[in-house]
Amino acid sequence: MTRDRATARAVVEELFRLHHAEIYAYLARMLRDDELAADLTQDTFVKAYRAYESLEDASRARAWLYQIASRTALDELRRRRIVRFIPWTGESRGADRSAEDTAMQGRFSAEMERALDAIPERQRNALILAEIHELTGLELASALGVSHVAARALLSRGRESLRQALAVERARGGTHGAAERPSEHGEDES
Amino acid sequence: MSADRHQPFLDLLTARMDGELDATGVAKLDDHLAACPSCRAVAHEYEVDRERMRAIRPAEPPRDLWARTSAALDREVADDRADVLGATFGGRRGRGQLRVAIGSFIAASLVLAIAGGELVPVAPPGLATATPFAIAAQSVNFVGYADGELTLYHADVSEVCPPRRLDCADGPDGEAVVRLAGVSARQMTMNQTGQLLISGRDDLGAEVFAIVTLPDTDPTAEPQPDPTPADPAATGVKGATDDPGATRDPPLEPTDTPTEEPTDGPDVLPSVSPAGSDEPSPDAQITPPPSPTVAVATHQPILSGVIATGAAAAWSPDGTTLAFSAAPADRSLGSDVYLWRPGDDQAHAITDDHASLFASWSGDRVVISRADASADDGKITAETQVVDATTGEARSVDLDTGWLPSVDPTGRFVVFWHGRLVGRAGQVEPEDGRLYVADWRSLDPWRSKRSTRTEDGPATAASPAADEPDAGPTDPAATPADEADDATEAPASPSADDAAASDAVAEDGPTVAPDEGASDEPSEEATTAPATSTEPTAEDPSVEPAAPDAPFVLDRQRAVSGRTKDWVVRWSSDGRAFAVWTGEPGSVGRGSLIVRSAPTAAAPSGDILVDRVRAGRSFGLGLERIAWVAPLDDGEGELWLSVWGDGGEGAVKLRRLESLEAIPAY
Repeated sequence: MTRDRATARAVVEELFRLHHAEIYAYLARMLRDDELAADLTQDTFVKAYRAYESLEDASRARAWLYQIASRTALDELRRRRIVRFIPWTGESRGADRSAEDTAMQGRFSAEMERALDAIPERQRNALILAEIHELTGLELASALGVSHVAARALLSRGRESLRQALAVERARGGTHGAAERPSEHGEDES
Repeated sequence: MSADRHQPFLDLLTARMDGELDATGVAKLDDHLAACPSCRAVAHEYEVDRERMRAIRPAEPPRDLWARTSAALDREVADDRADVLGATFGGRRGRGQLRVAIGSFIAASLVLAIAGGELVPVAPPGLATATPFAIAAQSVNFVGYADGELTLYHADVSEVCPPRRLDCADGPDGEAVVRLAGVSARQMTMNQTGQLLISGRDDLGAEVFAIVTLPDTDPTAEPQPDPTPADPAATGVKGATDDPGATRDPPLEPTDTPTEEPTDGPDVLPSVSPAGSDEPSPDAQITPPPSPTVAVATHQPILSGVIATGAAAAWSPDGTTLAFSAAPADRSLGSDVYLWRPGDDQAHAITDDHASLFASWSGDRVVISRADASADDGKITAETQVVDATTGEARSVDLDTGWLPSVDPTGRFVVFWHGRLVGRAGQVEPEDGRLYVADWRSLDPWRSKRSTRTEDGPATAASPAADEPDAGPTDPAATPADEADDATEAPASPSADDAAASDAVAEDGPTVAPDEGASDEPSEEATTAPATSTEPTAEDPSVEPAAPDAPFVLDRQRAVSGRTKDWVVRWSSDGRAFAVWTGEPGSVGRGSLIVRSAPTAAAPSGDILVDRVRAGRSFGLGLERIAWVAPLDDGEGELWLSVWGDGGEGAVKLRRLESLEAIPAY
């Protein structure tokens, strides 16, 4: 192994230590398949090793990793056309939450999952990266592999698409109206 | 509100949420919101939706994620080495583009390694090697190629290096004990009395199954005092008392080669009672060095003109019967299952349907997998039966389309592959799937009343999630949404209250159906969902006693591997550990190996005892130790031994080998 490759290996190992959990969580959210997410997390870091030279600025390594993970996820989604609903697994492991909390959370998240499923993949990708993984500005653009303006547009459309999709879900459920959501969910306006 | 008309407002809103709106924009937005009640509602919903998304807890990565990623990186590194060797200096990738800030990464990585961070990265080249530490002496036998012949070696191991540090100084090289003349092996399996089954080719190149009885020149023949706690089973198993491994060392199961089918089987050397497993081999006695004279063993053909199929040949847990499956070498017929007992001239078939594959032993019965491609829709389905070798009676297992199940020697658990089978050149081959561990007691058709199932009755399995094979059984992602919805309602683990209903459930059939919902859990503790399993009663007299610490019942199957179509599963003879080797795509005989404990309440997928290592297909699993061959770039390999448990935890390299093939160790 040459010195460069040894360096690449060491860098990727360090990046794995720092970011594997969030990359995995991101992929699990995108794919809603934990085992597949694990496979693709592995793929992401292998690709990072291969593409090591393309990391021009180490301070942007996180966004760079998300870019690789994002492409990996979208490729997989295109290939497989995932359409099913799998729980976002974290919620099922909440041993410390009350049964009521768990039930409420399960209902909300199931609704959220279906809504997220209903919106275009790229918008969903932008939303997850921005809202959950807190990528902003150029970071988000880099991870999405688009311009800053395009990233903002994706996010904007994604938020609106999600809002409308949630409204549809609630209409399907037939029990809740948009105006009631905050109080129903026990979530205060932030 | 019309999204089109309000799009500029929505963009402003989004920008503000992300902190990217300047003062002018904020003022503009506020003006708009003040005049637009519906817009205020939208803004509020956006914030609520954001909080809801953030409130969902992230999935936790599987514990072996680093191990598998590291193994994949190792392969990349190996490829790079090959590139460098095969290309002019400079390699295939551009260089010199990244020189910035790398030093800090390296420094951080090294600190982590020293500080013992959770990642435990492999140290970059150039670091000092790990310091070995003493462990209880281990006696290890293994077979390797040397000068074109198979040779049985013996080695004593008394120190190892800490786990995950494969830069340990070499351990003992081992001494040649017996040469095996006249046959080249692709697969080997040994029983307690030193009878070694070899499947491979004879001197004339013909396919053959042969038995080699190892002569008493085994250097380990010296009876050794056994300082381990009393273990009647261990001390009395081997009548010839010619193998200290019988009393002093956890046996390692001989293994097969990269060219063989997925394998399975219990340990084959001196079976040690579960109680014995509490003491791996804390023996301080060192076996005397071998005789300088290397004896030559000859072989007895028991079946010729065939090639191995299904799982690797395996001796019954009591060591009296050998089972394997084979098909004519010319593929004129399909595969049948054969048995051989010492004293028989030839192996004899116990099936004649030409579609049966040996999977494993379940006590003294043979577990067989069959594939059925007769369905009108072209789907290939799998069926598993457990056959009484004496009466020939076969009973079906409700394992849905599980393939080549490997039952643990204590009968508690089973590891099976579930995925998509395909027909290729007249053969049925696994295409894409995963390995799962499940509770065998609730599945064993000979165990409970439900075993009234008819001989030929298909497994009617079907838990609510008994997935349709065509629904992308190997690809959870391909499961239609409406089916997958079921997966969101994975039942809770059967409670104790379910125990009373276990028989009833069993009679209904399906107890375990690998569901793709399994994929919604990391492999480490993957739950598969919907399939429920019974809570078998422990009072059934027909059942072999479970291990002493085995009150735990695995409520549902758990994934124990990533996607694979090439695998080997082995259980230790005490059923406390199983090793899973999965092949590297596109590679013959190379892959990665991981050892897990049997499932427990705390770790339903099993604790990881030996983290993933790159390995050739051949490996031997014993009581609290495993030997495997680490592939080298030049096609050769290094034999490694890993130990765990109270006797110490670590690994040591034993010997460089000329081939990855046919290296059983025990």
